[in-house]
Amino acid sequence: MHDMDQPKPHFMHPAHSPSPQDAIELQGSALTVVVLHLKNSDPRILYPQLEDLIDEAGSFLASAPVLIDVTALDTDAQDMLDFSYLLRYLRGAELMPVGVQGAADSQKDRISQAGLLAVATVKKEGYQETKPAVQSGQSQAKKQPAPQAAPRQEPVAPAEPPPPRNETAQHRQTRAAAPAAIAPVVITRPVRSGQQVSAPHGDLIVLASVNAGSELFAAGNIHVYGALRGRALAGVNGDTEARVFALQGNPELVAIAGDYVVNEELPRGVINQSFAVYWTESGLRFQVLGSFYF
Amino acid sequence: MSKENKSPNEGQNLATVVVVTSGKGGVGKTTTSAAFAAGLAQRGYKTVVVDFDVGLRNLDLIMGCERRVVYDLLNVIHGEGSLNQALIKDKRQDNLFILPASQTRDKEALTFEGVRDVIADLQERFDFIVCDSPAGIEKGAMAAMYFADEALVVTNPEISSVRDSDRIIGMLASKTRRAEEELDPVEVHLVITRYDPSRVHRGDMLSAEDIQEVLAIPFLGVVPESKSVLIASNAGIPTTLCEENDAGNAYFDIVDRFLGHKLPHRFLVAPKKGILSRFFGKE
Repeated sequence: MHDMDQPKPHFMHPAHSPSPQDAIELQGSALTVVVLHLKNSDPRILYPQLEDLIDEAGSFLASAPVLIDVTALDTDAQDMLDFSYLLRYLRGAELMPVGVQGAADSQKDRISQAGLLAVATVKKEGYQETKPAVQSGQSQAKKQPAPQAAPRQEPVAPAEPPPPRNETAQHRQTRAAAPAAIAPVVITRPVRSGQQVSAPHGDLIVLASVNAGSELFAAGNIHVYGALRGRALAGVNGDTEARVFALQGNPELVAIAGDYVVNEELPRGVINQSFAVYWTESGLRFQVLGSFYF
Repeated sequence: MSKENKSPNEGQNLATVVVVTSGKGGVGKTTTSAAFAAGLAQRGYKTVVVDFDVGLRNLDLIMGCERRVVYDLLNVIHGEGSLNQALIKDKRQDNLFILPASQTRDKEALTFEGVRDVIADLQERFDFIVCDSPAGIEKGAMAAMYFADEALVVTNPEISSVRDSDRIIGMLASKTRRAEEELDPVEVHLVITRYDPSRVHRGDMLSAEDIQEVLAIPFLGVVPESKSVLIASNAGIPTTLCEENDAGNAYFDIVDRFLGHKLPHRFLVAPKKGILSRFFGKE
């Protein structure tokens, strides 16, 4: 399972195209994958919950590359896990498992026999700080406002063992690895009701107004140099460092990494001001820009 | 389609197709279509106004020709009658013609190919083709806007109408022949109807500036909320063919600005209430 090019989430597009004269070009690339944390390997518990999860996630997970994380399982529990069956099950559900992360050394053979990539063990404390990719069972109403808000995904470099899974550190690393490699999507005309604009890989810059009834999506930041009256969803792949900036903001909804605030919940003081929105553990924060009174 | 009857002024440029649209219903599309087409005709342009509101035709009532309808747009599309039979000449204005819609057919009967042929035929005979779009974003509205060169977006000074207009402007930029063939985009103009400056002043109504700010398209003018509109509708006379009245004057301003004349905007400020203004008239 090294065919990283084919299984990508529906919002991903090939980022690199080889030059026409050369048949081959080698290039490093980061791929966003969904991490599936297993906490119990008992098939009677695991598979019903998996089924619920897949039903709930619907098409968001279709063709998504999946990294199976077994860090939370002890060696006995890992022994119980039938990797071949799990692989077939996930593929049957149209997911694309690419590897197993956090497995004990004794499992490596079984993992590669199943046709999966064994990626290096990860420290357990690192895992505890991060949130699971998609919690099974419980509905995440507050986490996933719009259907387009993708499940939390974490970028990893496929060719190398992933860095310690501390989320912020990892995001910084990914960003530092490819500075300004992704050109922003720039829109110069008004975004009108019913229109959707997305920047599936990077930032989105709108040099006009974003009217009520329209939607903006960006993997990175969203900048609106006009009035923002529609919906703005930044960090749709789970980047909590993403921000939303608006010259005059009264959005219907603003979201970062799946956490959102609807218009009714906007802090009074920021409505129709120039503001920046950023993510914190305890919710989105609004910062009025161009004002020196705070 | 019937091509047997060429217009006398052959070799002239093809007619400009103007769609009157809004998204929302009840904002005054048909009133605007009738007044605008009649205004163009009064200015000397040979104009036809086409009703695309299949199943809910009203234009013939506003134009006062409902008792002379024999064939309609769908009969022409389906070859059941010729364009000459379906076109109704206005009794008051020689330059003005009406192509009514069918009241009984389903709007699905409106095929794009049929509409294209009818419009191509009309383009050879007229200077302007005014398409009165139905409300909504269904097939009838799409057919009405598809072949447009220019558009009048009719908006009322309230938020739902503004939002629907915004949606329609987006569609005019993407769902029309000009967009699909990558020609110059449809020229879109804003017309604000049922405008009441005194209510704007009180804050009950969106101001023309607010609407322009949201929609960001060239502004042709406002039509004031006026009793004469209802009187004219009920009498079956376009406001621009009635005796002089405020709505009719506003529509003439809009026609003239559409034709490229620069005119100061009127009707944006409430007339001062008082004895003096009563003596010296409005404006």
